[in-house]
Amino acid sequence: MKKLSFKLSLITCAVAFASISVSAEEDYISDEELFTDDEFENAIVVKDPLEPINRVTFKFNDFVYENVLDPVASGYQWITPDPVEKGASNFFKNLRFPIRAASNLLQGRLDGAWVETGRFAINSTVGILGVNTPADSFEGFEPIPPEEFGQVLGAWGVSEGPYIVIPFLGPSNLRDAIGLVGDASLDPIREPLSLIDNWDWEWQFAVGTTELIVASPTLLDGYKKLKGSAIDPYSSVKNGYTQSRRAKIAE
Amino acid sequence: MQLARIFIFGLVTVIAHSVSLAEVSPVEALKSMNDQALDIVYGEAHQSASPEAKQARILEVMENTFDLSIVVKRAMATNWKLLTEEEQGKVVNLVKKLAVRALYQALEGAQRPQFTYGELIQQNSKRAEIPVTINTGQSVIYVDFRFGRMQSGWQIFDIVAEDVSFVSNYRQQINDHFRKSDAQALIKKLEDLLKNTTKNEEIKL
Repeated sequence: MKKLSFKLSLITCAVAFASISVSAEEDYISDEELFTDDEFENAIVVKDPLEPINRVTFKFNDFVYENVLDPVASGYQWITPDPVEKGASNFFKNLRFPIRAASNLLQGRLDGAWVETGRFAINSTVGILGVNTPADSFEGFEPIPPEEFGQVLGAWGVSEGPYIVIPFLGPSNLRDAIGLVGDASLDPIREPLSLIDNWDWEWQFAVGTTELIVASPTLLDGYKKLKGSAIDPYSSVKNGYTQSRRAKIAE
Repeated sequence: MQLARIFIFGLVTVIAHSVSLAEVSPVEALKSMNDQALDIVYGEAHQSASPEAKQARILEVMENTFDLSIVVKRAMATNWKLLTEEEQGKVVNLVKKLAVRALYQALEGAQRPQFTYGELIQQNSKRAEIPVTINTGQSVIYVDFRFGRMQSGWQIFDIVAEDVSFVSNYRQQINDHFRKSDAQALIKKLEDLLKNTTKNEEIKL
């Protein structure tokens, strides 16, 4: 009898273990699945027929960023107190309201256009020409992701086209490069400020350069993050830019 | 009576086995790992340690929590099989060290960031993700920690920061590398990159 109970115990345990093992096996990812996951395969297909030219432009830009923009950004950050730096950045962001509002409208995002308009009105008045951003604390007017013409074209179904690296400006693609023309046409530094007397190219250049200097710490920060631990910085920036753009357009 | 004993014995065995299979919640594991890593960077206990020692300690903490080789394997994708076992080990170690160094350099000198953990989003029995908001004081960064359920428990599968996937980004670089070169050159590149603490030699004009 004892022998029989022992055998029965063993059988019970074996059945219990087996049932657990069988059901659990299906719930785990196998080693093979680690490598055959097409979730990422689609994400990294970037058309890059101009790679040899792009790589040269990338090296040129990197040289400019390292030797010109980086010292400018560091110097600017060193001499400018944080609140002034923040205020200047806010001022230029606020100024680009027409691009964001038009891009929202062209995508049929009426809510987005409304929020951008409200933010512009509040920040330009209560926030003193956009230096401060009191709209952040107004319910319904919290910051939203900025839209521009490259995204509009993407939302309209225009494909990316080949990846290109634009001298000085950095990573882009054909569609986004065309989008830059649309952005420029609504850039207030060109229009409507040109209606001001004596608003000639020297002023435009001076204001444009100031805008670049103010934006340089943020621009370089993103660039350095992608480049920092890269095996191939060109590929890393190409992939990072493309992933980021695709996600923004899909939103 | 005898049958009852058998039943209890079986039940105890099943429970014991289930307990051994029970996994630590990925949220708790992630929180604990991040807190420990931040303590190493900012805590007084580690103030006198060198950056290299701190990075080694952070890597140890991460490895004690998750199997980081999985995320490296995913980044390597099909190229993984082009490597010998020895090369695979080297690549895993080098990429882990590089990633920890990048993380350390991003944190060093800045104020301690605040992590806010969202609810665990379980896509299916094998996949889950945790959205995390990191407030650095200067900006807010949105990061998704993606997990896969392996035999060894929930493991980090990918880290997506501001819509840029770590796995996809490295996969692109590694694919581009293997189009023109081989495993030995990759290891050499990684070693050089680790030695070079400031700038990447490849992009000098």
